Amino acid sequence: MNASSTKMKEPSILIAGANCQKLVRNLSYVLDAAAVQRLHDEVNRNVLALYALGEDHLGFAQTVPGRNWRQRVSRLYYGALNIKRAVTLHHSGDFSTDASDHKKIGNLPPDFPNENTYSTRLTNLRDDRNIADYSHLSTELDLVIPLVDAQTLVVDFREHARSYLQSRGLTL
Amino acid sequence: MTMGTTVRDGLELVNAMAVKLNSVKLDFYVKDRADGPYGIVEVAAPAERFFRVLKEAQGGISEDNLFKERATISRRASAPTNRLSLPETQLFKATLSESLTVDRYTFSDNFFGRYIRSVFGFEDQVVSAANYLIYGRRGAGKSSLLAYAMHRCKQQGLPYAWVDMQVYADRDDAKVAIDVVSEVLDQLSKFGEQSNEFRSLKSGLAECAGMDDTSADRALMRLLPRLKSYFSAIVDLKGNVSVFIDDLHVVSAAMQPQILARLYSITRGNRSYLKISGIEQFTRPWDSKKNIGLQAPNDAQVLKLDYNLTMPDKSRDHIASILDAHARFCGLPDSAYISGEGVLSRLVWVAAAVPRDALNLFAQAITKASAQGQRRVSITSVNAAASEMAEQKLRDMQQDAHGQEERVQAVLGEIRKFCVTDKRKNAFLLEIKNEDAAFRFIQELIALRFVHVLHEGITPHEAGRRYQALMLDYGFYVGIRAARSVDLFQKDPKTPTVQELRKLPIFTPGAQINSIVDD
Repeated sequence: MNASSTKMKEPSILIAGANCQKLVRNLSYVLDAAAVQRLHDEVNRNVLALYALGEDHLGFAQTVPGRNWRQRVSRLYYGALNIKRAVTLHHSGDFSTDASDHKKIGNLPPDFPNENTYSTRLTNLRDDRNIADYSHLSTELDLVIPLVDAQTLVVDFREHARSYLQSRGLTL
Repeated sequence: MTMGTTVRDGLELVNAMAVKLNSVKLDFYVKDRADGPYGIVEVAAPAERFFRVLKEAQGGISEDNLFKERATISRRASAPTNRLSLPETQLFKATLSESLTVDRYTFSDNFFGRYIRSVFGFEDQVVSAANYLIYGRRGAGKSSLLAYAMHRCKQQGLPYAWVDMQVYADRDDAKVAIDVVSEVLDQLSKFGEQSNEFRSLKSGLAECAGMDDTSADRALMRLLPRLKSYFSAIVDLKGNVSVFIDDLHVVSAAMQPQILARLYSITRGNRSYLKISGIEQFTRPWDSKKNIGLQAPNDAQVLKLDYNLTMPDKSRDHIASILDAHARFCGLPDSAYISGEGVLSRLVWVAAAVPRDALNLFAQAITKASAQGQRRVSITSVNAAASEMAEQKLRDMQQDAHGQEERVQAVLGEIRKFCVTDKRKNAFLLEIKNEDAAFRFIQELIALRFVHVLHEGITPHEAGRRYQALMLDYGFYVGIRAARSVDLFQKDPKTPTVQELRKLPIFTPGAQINSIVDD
């Protein structure tokens, strides 16, 4: 069997248990080191794919003209969200495709650089994305984080996430 | 939702944040969005600390508060004209005042995040497995360097004890050594077991209290081998022991070598190390007649933190980095944000490169500038703070040179008359005569921060006659109307040239000074 699943259906390390890092930890006493490593590799492959997805959204956001502020804010948010999901998957094993996952955008590992700043600012970005995507009455002036600052925020977050994941042994 | 609800909820959030920000209420406004109100707290340069405080405040406010989950910290849209009226400036002033007293608890929540390294990077040395004597004038950073080493011990789980010698100020009895050893023992016991041996040692030390000085010291000496074994057990259990002795100089000079001798008997060859701070001119680690104490460099290495004004450019950078770190902690981009032109340079001269004096002066200058309706800290406000600082130094003298106040005032008066009245220059040359009582006494004025060294030794005229270049403290002539005509040495702090120094008038201690110091 190929250890790399490309689907979010069985078999997948991400749905093998409520928390894949916990799963690996609890299987490590019955599996040999090589098997445990293969499980880690599979988790890491997903971390990298989530990070790449975030980068993809960010890259696209940067090409969206400023006049399309709604699309730009939306893509920046999805860039940040997926990079954040990569970080938490690697740190604690948390992963979810549920809509409620958006509310956890501010839940970063306590040792993440400027954790409180990113926690608040990414939550603000989610609120901005909500009015950008769903509020027909809103204008660009309603944004809590101006467009140019939102881009700086997500680019900086991407850089800190990259360093953080590298410091945990990932090659990015 | 009414306007009243919005105001009430906003106030609740700001007040909850103020609890964690020295009671300073940050600027707040409500952004009225299509999806409802959003709270915006404005700060000139938002730092991580403010986001942490916001999160903690949001966690503590009412569940139905409009801003429970809808608030942020934003950079101020534009810099106000009057920057001294900003809440961030009030916070900065309070933080500067708090940082003036450094002890083992300073910055305890985030020590390494806020610590600024010493000019010469002594941090790597002071944590090494060796004894150190750390010298510097009041405010030069001795306690901060000790605290750095202590926090490293804490971080690594290594045992340590910290003794603040101010508690024993002016003690000249032999029991002071017993009290210090007892305090060290108490603190170290937290790293080991409160064993029978610990209790027995404590009881042995307590018994000394009822004895005369000689008997008490003999009793302590009999306990030393057992104390050494107790230390050794802690070392085996937890690793190297560090004993921090802060401000040794405040104890009677006669007792200083004895205290160190007793401590060194316990720590020597026992993977335990002494880190001692003091003002060099008033510290006596070694008694050459009795051959007791700690002798540098054999027993302890000396780290000198204070280079007076001999490297003013380096001092300027160091003081700027300390002020800027505090400013950023308080939400300002840097200290220049609230300062007028030339303020930092003047601060270096007025503080004579002593970091704590610079912080104190800057905090006072903020108050004075605000009171005068100025929009930024000005040179005038620094000058006004300087004369008050001189009063503070005179008060410090009572602790550092107890009993010498009158002689110090008299000699200082002569130098002041020479500089301010006779020559109208704030800098002068003094011939180096190490055997001369007047020369040695003036070195104590340097230790007390009334006079500052510009150059340790130049030969301006005749070969073989070397002179120290000195500067009278700014507090004795700036901010004072009668002394405004004094010609100030240099404007911007930079290493003085020989040409500049040669032009300085030579101060020769006259008969009056000689009679004072010979008393």
